[in-house]
Amino acid sequence: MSGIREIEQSLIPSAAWLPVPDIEQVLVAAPVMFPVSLRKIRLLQVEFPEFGGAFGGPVTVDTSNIDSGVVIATARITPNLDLVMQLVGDSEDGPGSSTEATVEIRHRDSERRRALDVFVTYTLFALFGLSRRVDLQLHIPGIEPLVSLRFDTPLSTISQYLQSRQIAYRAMVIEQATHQQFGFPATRSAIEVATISFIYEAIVKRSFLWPDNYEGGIIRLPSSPEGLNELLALTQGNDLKSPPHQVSRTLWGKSVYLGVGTVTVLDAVIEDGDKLKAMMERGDGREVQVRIRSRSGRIRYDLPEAPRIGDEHWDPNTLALIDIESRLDAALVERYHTLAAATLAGLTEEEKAQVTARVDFGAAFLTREINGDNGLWQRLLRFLKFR
Amino acid sequence: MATAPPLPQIPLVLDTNVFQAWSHQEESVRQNIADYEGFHKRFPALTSITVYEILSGFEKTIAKRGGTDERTVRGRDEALRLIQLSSMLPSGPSPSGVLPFDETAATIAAFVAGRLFERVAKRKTGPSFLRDIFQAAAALAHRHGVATRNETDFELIGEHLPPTHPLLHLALWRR
Repeated sequence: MSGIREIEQSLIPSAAWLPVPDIEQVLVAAPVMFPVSLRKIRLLQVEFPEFGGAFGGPVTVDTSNIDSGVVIATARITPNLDLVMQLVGDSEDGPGSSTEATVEIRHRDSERRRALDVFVTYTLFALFGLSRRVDLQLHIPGIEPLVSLRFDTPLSTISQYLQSRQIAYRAMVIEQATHQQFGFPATRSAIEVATISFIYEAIVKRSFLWPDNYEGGIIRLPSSPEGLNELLALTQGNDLKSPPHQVSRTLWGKSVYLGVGTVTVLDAVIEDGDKLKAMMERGDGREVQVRIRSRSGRIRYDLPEAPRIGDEHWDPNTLALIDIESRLDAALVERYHTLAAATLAGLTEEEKAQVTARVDFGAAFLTREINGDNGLWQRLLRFLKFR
Repeated sequence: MATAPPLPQIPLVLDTNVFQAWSHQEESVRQNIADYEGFHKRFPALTSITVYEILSGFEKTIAKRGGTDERTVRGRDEALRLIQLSSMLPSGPSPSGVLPFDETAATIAAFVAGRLFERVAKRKTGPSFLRDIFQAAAALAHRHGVATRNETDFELIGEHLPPTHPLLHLALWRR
């Protein structure tokens, strides 16, 4: 019978706090000329034409502040979320003048945000940020004018929206599969992100590879002849598999049970093997910690009892926002490509070769030239002697 | 002490040769970047060594021409924008996507260089080796792998890693 009960995963020693984009921010569009007075707006529809007609819909309009030149359009997105668009411009009866549009997503319970609400918010932020035009269809009989807005959002912010959206989506999956609800915190650490990814992989894949970023794992063996035999057996094998044991992770203060499963360190290496062997040979029955790591940096988790998520769990609106991911990614990566290409844009081939020529880091290798028989120093000495 | 291909979860830094291929809009690198973005929602990180290399080419040319070359200045400014963008985005456990050559990186680099230089001289490998050592050390210090085309140098570095950082993840983004 094996003395190995479990391979304990080592923790990442430094838990960096990662920036989180402000979820309560107000997105500001570039000012635009409205073809009509704001006073005439009764109903408007927001559309993201580059991302398909599925994203958008009618919005209720409040004109009670129209004398101040303000129109507020509100759309209920989820039971907890409202999209609020404020238009500030001209209230006169003739064609409108320059109008400023702002958008924010208001959370009804900002103290305890749900993963779904965070996911929807960042998806919408990303849609506004990545759309080259956001169309406002103003339903005014006989005219039906269309106004296009543009929200110039920095690429770094859009990337952070998509990162936050991804994390929120994974938390949604974890909530649905485990029937637990988490309050989505306003801060985020690298460990939390890794934990969310781990639980998500367990739910979605059940058998998956996880990086052993040289923290490795620890197993405990008794200092005894049996322990020594086990250690010797470990050092001979390529992969080290734990016996089935209960696996769980703690996320935001709650334990998430992932069932009974196994952990296999692929291409396992025992650290300090000789020292451990000497400790085992003492045979005093004390527990000895054996640190193992994967030579190829891979650990396989087999968690067949991990919670499952049903196939038809999301409502059509949420599903549409989930399915838009590849298009959001494609839009973002195209902007990255454009920026990278801009570094060499307009240069001739010869100029490109000049600015991308390999930099010489050779100073450290000059010592032989300076100090060798025919080096600078010796040549200088010969020159001085000659003088 | 070794190298291994990275799992998708491992954040990467772009070696300078891959960055330049990206600037030249090589399709294979564009696809690699797109795949990476799909998982990490950002492009691969840069090390401060790569930042130096990217900017050096521009600055050298600008200085040579007395600062009168508008196109090169514009290119340099675009490169700076991209570098700044990377630094503002977290990458893996690092809050910034420009990984510094810090104390940990310097310690790793010293360990590798101390064991490699004799061998480098024997193999007549170029002096750019030092650059690759710095690059790998910065990546290792911040728990990143390296996306490169220079398999030979990085594999040799992988054979001389310190016990504290025994594995270098190497993504070979070939043409």
